[in-house]
Amino acid sequence: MEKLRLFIALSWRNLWRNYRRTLITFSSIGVAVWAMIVLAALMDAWAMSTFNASINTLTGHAQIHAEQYLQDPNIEYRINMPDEQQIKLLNSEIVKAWSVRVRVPAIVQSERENAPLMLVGINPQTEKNLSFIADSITEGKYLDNENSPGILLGKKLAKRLRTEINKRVVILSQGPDGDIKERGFRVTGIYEVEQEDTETQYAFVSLNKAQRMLMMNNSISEISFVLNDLNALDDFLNRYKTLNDQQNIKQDIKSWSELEPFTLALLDMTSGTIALLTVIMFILVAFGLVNTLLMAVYERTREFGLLQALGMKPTYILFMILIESTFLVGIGVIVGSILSLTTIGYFSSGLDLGALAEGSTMFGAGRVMYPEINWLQSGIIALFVWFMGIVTSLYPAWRASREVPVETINKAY
Amino acid sequence: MSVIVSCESLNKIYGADELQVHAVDNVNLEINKGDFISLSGPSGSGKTTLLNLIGGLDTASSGKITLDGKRVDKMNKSALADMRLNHIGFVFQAYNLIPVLSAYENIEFIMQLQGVPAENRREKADAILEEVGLTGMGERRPAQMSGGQQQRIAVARAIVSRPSIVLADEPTANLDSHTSNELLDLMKQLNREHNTTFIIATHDQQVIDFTQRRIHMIDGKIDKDKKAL
Repeated sequence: MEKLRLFIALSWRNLWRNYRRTLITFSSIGVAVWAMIVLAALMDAWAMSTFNASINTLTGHAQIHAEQYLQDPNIEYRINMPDEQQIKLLNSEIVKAWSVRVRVPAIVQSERENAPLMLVGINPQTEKNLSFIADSITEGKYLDNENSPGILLGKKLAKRLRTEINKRVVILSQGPDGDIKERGFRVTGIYEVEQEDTETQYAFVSLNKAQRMLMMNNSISEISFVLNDLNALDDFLNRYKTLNDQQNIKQDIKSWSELEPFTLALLDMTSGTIALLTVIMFILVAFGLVNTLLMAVYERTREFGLLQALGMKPTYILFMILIESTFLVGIGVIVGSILSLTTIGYFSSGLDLGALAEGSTMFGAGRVMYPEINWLQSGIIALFVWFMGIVTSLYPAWRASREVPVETINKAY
Repeated sequence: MSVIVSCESLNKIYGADELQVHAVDNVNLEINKGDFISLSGPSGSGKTTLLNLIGGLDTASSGKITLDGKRVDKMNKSALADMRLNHIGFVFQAYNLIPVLSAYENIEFIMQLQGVPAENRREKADAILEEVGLTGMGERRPAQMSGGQQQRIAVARAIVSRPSIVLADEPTANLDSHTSNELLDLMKQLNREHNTTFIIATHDQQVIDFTQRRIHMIDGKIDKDKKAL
């Protein structure tokens, strides 16, 4: 204990012998840790934004379709409305929201233009809790009920069709019998979203109107739902599959990760990229750290000789240098961590990417990111830098412990 | 009188082949407990090398060195460190205090490595500061002291844990004659009161005249070994 106290005192005071160099080293480690943690939080926020945008668009946590629908999203491949037992399962506590939809390829015609799109028939009430539509109406209004006669168009599509609220458009699509079905709808709402492609891709009408127009009776294209806890998804999907098997119902049940492989790849890539960036930044810091410690060791070779002459064992000198680097890296890590957590906390209410928005929406992320403090991730980064800093200092420490007393002791100051 | 240091056929050779230098050449020497010895000779005569070999700071090319009955030449680095810590006190020409430690902490350094509790250390440090005439200067850092004061602290550090032997290499080389005299008086007093053995490597005739046994070296060999009258 006495020795430990001595080593700590010596290490701490040695740190401040060249305080400028020490402060520069603290700063470089601090800035690196700050950058690593903030960058990791931003990447997480970006990935989460992409994930949420993907889930909110229409995907949900999972979807149920007729087999082959996903390969060919045709009216031919449809399913029945959920039966009593399926509804019971979908109404269970773990499901946050669910809704049924008709989703078929169609063509929209205004008085002047036409455009291909995906016609989506929705139940306005249940859809409200599931996807972006209700919250994205910027002109006109959302659909009132299942029988609403109106149509919701994306802003970009409305512009392309040169139509507006209260004007009529005609939807054409193939019915189950192979004949073209058509119906006129009055534009009752315009929606606006960050991903502009979505605005040209989807038009929304009430479920009943879509079914009637397409002569689908009570059948639908898909069921979509979100759970309260995403971790329960696999279990829930298994229960749904088991229920279908028991009733001999053949349906294609797919989780978000199967429906959105790009989003999944992006999330996987994010964690890998964070790890890679952490290592790269640490390597950059490590050079500075080794340089600082080696300089400190070379400057004090005479002193290490003296310490050995006075009876300090080489292992004690190695230990003392390691304590010194523990302080040196540790303070940088603590300062960097505090700064990074403050930065993330400051931007947690939203970081508007502004000029970068176009690029980020291209990858499906929102314009505004919401970085969150990830204590575990931040802790791992901080401890990694701290630990690797100490490991990096092993070489200078070993050099110091190898000093031969007689060769250094009588060197002039 | 018991023998504290014994050297038998001791050699230290630097370099190889035709560039070989015999820094210590076949030295045989016995030093008794309580001796106050000067080791003199011209530069390159081998006195510092001999001192380093006895203190385990350097390794012999051949021969035997025994200190307090233990073979120094057979010890590994760790055992040598232990021996220096517990049996030898060093005083160097350049004072060699640890710059980041105060006078108290420099004096207590060896005791702290030995694991002596803080209260005992401070008590001993206070006593030795009084002995070396630096009472009240314990909190000063080396940079805040004169050369003579630093050397006194170095002597205090060397003797505070009561080593069997103190090896001093040119301890007065950086001091004026008045301060040198004071330091020699101090070392002599410590030698007398604590029966500590002192071996002082020096060029300084004033130091040589002060010692009881005077060993003179030339070309790595003991030229003369005389006792003062």
